[in-house]
Parts: sequence; C-alpha cells; structure tokens
Amino acid sequence: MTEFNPAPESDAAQRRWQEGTDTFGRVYDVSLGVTSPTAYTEIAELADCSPNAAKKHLERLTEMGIVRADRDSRPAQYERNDGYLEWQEASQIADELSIDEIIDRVAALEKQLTEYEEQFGTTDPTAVSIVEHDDHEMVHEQMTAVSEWQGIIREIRLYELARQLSQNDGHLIPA
Amino acid sequence: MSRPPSDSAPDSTGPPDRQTLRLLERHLTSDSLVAETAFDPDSYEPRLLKTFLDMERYPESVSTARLDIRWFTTGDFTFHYVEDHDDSSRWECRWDRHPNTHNARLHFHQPPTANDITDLELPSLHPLEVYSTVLTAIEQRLEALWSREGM
Repeated sequence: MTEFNPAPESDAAQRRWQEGTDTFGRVYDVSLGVTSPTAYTEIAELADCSPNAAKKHLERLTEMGIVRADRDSRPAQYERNDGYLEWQEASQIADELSIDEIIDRVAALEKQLTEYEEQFGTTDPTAVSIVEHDDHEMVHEQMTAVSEWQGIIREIRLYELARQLSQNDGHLIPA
Repeated sequence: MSRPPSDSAPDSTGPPDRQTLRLLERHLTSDSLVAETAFDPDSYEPRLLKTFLDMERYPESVSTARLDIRWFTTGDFTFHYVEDHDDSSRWECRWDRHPNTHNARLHFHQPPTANDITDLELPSLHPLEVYSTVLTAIEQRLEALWSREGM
C-alpha cells in the first residue's frame, strides 16, 4: 500500500465544499471562516469567483451585519462580524430555552469552572502554559482542558446575554 | 466569538470557535462520506464536532470510522481520524495546528498509531480548505482499503 498522503491535491475542478453552492453562498461561507481582516481579492480566490463578485457580495453581507469591512485599506478588507454572530447565537438560545433552563446551564458551567480553577490553581486560563510538557499527548490533554475552560467562560457570558434577551422579549434594551 | 491571533497568548489555542464549528458541521452533513454529526457536549455548548462516517462506503473489515474536529479562535485545530477494525486493531491519524515544543505548529500524526509526528504544509488554513483536504485524504484512504481488500 502506498504511504498515506495527509495533503492530497483535489483533482476535482471544484473544491469539495463548493459542490452545489452559488457564488453568494460561497462568499458567505468563506467569510464565516475569516477571523482577521482579509483582502477581498483573497476571499474571491477562496470562494472561486471574480474579485468584483466577491466585493459585491461582501458589501451585501456587511449591510446585513454578518461581515465587517475596512474600506480604507487598499484593497478593502473584510472579516466576519463576531459581535453580530454572538448576538444571533444568544438570540437563538433565548428562543429555544426557557429562563429556568438557562439558569440551570449556567449553574452547571459555574461548577465546571470552579473545578478547572482548582485543578490549575488560578482563575485565569491564559496564565496556564500548554507547552510546559515535552510529551505530545500531555500537550493535547492540557490544550483541550484550557480551551474548554476558556469556552466555559464564554458560554456563561453568552447565556447571560440570552437571559437578558429573554427577559426583554427579544430586545437588548428593555422597552 | 474570536479575536485576531495577536490578542491571544502565542502558546494558547484559545476557546472553541463556535462559528467555525457550525460552518464545518453544515458542510459535513452534506458530504457524501458522512453519515451523521454531533456536537459535544451539545449544540448550545459546541466544543467538539463528532463526525461519523458512512460505513456503507467502507469494506466490512472496518467496523467504525469517525473524525473528531476541534477548531479554536486562534485558527488552531485538530482533525482526529480513527478507524476501528473487526480484528480489534485501530488505524488513526490527526491533522493538527497548535503550539508544542518539538514540531511545527502545523503538524501531522502519522497512521497507523498517530504516535509519529511530522511537520505539515497545507495550501490554505481556511477551515473549509482544511476540511476539503482532510476529507479528500480520507477518500484516498478508502480507495487504499478497497484495493487491499481486492488482493
């Protein structure tokens, strides 16, 4: 058997994830994975469309709030709008879970948070180095633990926002 | 839910990237190789994306095949592929990007045990591009499994 190749080149003209999506869908999906300001020309390349088409769709996504634009840079740069997407997630939680369910989930997460703080002897996950181990498996374990710990802190904040939305009938600001 | 990499400590992966995990889940559920996906612990707290591959695509000697995906706000990730075989042996490998002391940030744990690690180069680190590369590699693994079966 030939040796396993972890990075084979796709022989299909289209990239695997692009099957059956139109240009807008591709630009949308590419921008959801773009977490730092990126030139629209580069986004066009990833989305397999012309720079003009990418720019047009990115402008539309910016109007919708899904994407953030920096039009002063040359060429203009775009990235996903995390603030908007966080609100969208909180809004969905507020829609689907009751306030009691949200409170229960926060209580469970706070318990997990305390366990991590005791395990690492600090309340600050960024103070923990994940590479103090030489053993790669240990690095993996430590990395997963610290990341989940950071995730828990964010999840608690997200549920807090969801509870606020729930209490204000879907609005961020009380009527 | 992410910050630019410069805001995070360089030796940290940051928390799970909820948006990227959801994006990957959406694409995996429509991939011909995939039977089912699930978030761990659940979709309100997505930290790990479990992907169960379609066993109808595999020879009978393979009992289960899955791909476990983590994606972090720093752009770090792990794609862990595991095949369990009927003779109770296991074939696994992983595509990883994370800080460590002895390999490049981007590296590959070689099959069949995932113990040997080599540095890796990928054409792009965009989540959809990484996903494409990994699934294409798994498809080639499938072809190798079938051709061995036919001998």
